[in-house]
Amino acid sequence: MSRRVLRLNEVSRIYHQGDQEVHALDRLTLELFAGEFAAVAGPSGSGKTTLLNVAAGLDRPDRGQVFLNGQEITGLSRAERARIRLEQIGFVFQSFNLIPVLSAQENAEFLLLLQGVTAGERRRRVGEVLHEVGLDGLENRRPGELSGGQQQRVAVARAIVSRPKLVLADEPTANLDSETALSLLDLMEGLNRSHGTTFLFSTHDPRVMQRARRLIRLLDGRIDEDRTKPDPPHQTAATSGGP
Amino acid sequence: MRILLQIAWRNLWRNTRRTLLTASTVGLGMALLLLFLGLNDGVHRQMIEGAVRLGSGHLVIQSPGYQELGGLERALEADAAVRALRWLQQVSAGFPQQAVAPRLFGSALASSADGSTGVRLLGVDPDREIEASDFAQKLTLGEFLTQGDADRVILGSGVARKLKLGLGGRMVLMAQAAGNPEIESRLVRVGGVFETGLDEYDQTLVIAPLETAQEFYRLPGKIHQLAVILEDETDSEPLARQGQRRFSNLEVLSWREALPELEDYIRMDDAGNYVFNLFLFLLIAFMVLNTLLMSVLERAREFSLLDALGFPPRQRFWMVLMEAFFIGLLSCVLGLLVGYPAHLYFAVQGLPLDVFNLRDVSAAGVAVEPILYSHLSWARMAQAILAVFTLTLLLALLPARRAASLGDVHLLGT
Repeated sequence: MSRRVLRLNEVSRIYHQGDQEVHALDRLTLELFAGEFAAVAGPSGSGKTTLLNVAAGLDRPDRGQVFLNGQEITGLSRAERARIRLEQIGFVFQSFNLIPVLSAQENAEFLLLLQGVTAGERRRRVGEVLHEVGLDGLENRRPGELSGGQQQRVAVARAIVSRPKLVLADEPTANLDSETALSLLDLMEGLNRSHGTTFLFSTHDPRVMQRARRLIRLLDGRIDEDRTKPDPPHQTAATSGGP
Repeated sequence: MRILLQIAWRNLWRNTRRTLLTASTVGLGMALLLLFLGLNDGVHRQMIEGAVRLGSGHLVIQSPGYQELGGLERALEADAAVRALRWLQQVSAGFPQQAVAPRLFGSALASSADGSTGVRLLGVDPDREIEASDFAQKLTLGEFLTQGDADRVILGSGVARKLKLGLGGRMVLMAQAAGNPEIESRLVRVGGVFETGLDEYDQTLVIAPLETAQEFYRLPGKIHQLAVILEDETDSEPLARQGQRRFSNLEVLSWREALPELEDYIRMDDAGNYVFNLFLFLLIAFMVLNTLLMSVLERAREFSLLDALGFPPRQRFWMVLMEAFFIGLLSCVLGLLVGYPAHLYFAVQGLPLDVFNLRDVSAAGVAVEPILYSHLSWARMAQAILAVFTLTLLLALLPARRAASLGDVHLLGT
């Protein structure tokens, strides 16, 4: 059986709106195993983003526990949770969120620098990963000089370069056109298959839901459906004939 | 550390206009600070120089109690003066001296055919005194005393006016000599008239050859004071302390101790200037704080991103401090580039007081020169640089704390 990467145990997250309590997550239990390519879907307000925030240790649950690679992170300090994110989690954001003053190469290198990886090793890994995401020749461009798709590729490179156990991707295709979105999904799926990196997406995008091998539907902070699919016949950028 | 420096430096140039405006404002503040400090220290230096040249010297050696009580009889014996002179010679390598002048003080009644007035009589060694004091330069009539003069004196312009005396005019000095109930009198001729701009000297002082004064007061071979002019004013305190340790039976005073009213005036003036500089910096501080805080708040999303990526709060704190450090550095460079040449201009050309419609100004019994020359020591410049850096870094603490605490859970989902 695969190793368990993420476990949310009876997790509740309650927000207060005036006198009202809003249960963004309501006693939610979820397990994610190494190598999964999973998507969390659901209507707005169903708790997708809160789930990702809590899973990453960016937000603390009011009840329940969060385990990342077997370690409970719920009670850790901010600095300790930051350290865990640095070492174990890669992020891909909806609006790319690259560091604007750094080039593509430096953005990709950023986490390795924080991790204290040696210069030679950094160069090698960043070179490999930028090649892998198809950014050869664009290494020295800053985010403002790249298209949306290229920026998201840099974000993917940054997310995987430190070989994290888990990549959390928040609506990664939301700001991309169809062709670029499919190309990005190809890329992430390829990385998932070749490196065994675990991906967890939050999404509204039917293309992502279709591509995911596990689809978790949330409703009112609870899991409404959790379905693992056989490998789907997927549409790729090459076959989509998109715009 | 490299990535911190790199991001901090590049962040500065994301809004070049704002960075340059902030650095220019702080730099201008620093330039003004240098200018004010330079002129202020320059005035004080001129006042000290003027005071020691017309008064005590940078270092005074006299009989115990003379500073407080005075008195004709409280004179230094010849052997004590010789010991003090030997000591001064011994320490001259470490504390270079321009001049050492023996002086004898007394009071007398000066009379001419047209009147009489009370005067202070100062007996001096002409050759040594001309090196030590400015009286020779302040002469408006005649010449300074020379060796061999016996009955020639120079006097303040006020005394000359009161007694209606010109060059070669005769007057009689009368006083009670030391340890003698009899009144001594001596006829002397006016060899010169000086004008210092200070009533304390111009209205009351008569300068006579040392031997004449010693004879007049019946203090043969005795003096009241050895006045020492040093190459460097800042040697005054350590040399005085050394002298005090060496001579338990002598009063060895720095100029600060010999001229306490001048010392108090300078301290008060410095305090006033510090308050002024503080207000200047407070105004600048608000702008710097505003800029740094705005710059952090504008990048709230970025700091949240750094938090999400695992960039520790402490490093985000340091990153903002480094940005402030770079602004401080830039400000200091700009401040020095503007402030130092401005100081140099006033150090060479001077600032004439008459542009402020000020003439014959005196303070704490010292005449202020009509042209002020800026004087800026390396220590003062270091203080100014330190002040700018400290202020910038202190002001950055709040934005840095804010940057460290930003961890926006809403980064995901937008």
